[in-house]
Amino acid sequence: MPEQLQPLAEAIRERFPELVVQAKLDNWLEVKIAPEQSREFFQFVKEHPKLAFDYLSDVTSVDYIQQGLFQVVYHLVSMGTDARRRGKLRVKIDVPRDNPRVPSVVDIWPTANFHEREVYDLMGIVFEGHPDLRRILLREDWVGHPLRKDYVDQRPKRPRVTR
Amino acid sequence: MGLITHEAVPGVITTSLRRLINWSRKSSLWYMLFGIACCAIEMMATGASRYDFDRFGMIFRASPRQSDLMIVPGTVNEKMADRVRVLYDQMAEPRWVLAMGGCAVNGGPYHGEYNIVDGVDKVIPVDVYVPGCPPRPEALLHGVLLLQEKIMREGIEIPEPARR
Repeated sequence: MPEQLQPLAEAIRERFPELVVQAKLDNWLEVKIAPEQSREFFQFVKEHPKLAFDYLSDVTSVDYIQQGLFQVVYHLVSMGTDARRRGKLRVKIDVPRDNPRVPSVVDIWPTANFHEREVYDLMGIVFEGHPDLRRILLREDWVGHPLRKDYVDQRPKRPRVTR
Repeated sequence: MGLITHEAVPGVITTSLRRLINWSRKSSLWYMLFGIACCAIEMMATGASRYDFDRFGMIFRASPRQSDLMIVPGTVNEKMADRVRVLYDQMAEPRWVLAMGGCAVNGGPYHGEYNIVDGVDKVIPVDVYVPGCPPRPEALLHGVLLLQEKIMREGIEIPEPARR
């Protein structure tokens, strides 16, 4: 593990000893957590003075249809540090495909509002505690979640308009 | 206009009048300032100084009420399709539509994708199609010149609502 990431990994392991913290490309730390501990974990990494992950860069998700689960991925950055030593953390949460529910982090990072709406819209993962969970990219009356691997487009073919 | 529309046999005066009206319409096509996606950049480039639209009498008008031509530059998705139709309905006749770029012609690189309308002609009637991704300014100008030729061929009777 690169030496600037060591103190961050240790701070996380000190509080959550059962978690496996890996170092990935480009100085990203990566950790996989369970949906139940997600709110506690996110509150901790935001408020801890050494970690201070105050910037939620992205919320996205992956459809692992063969394993029957969705994986929600959060990218967190610590903006207080200088660019060369910036702490970056990727958090992955696995949820079952037939009932995908994850706690929302909107009250921790308000930017998650739109990101979680997008993940809900395209993947169908429900974020519990989100103040306004509705579609954001597709029309309100859209049926289905297009980025799932088993999505089939069922729109009727539109005829060409001549007036 | 009544003299022109009810005359059974086109005469010298009516055809000359027709040519005059068509010429005046084609020479001052005010297009709507309506940019949806990347093709809008090329439309702006065509309107700028090197490939000038103004020398064809074309100036942009922000309001659909004041424009004759709607150039549709960019991908039309399901949400935008309703808005495009509303703007088209607000244009006063005579009005023409030019579909610019692959996405407006038939969905382009996104043909068949979720949330994409395959071509703006599924929403509004189109007169000229300009393919490209994006079409070069010369290509867009060629499309406009083709539209001008189409306008010159028009009869001058007032179009009935069913025929457009």
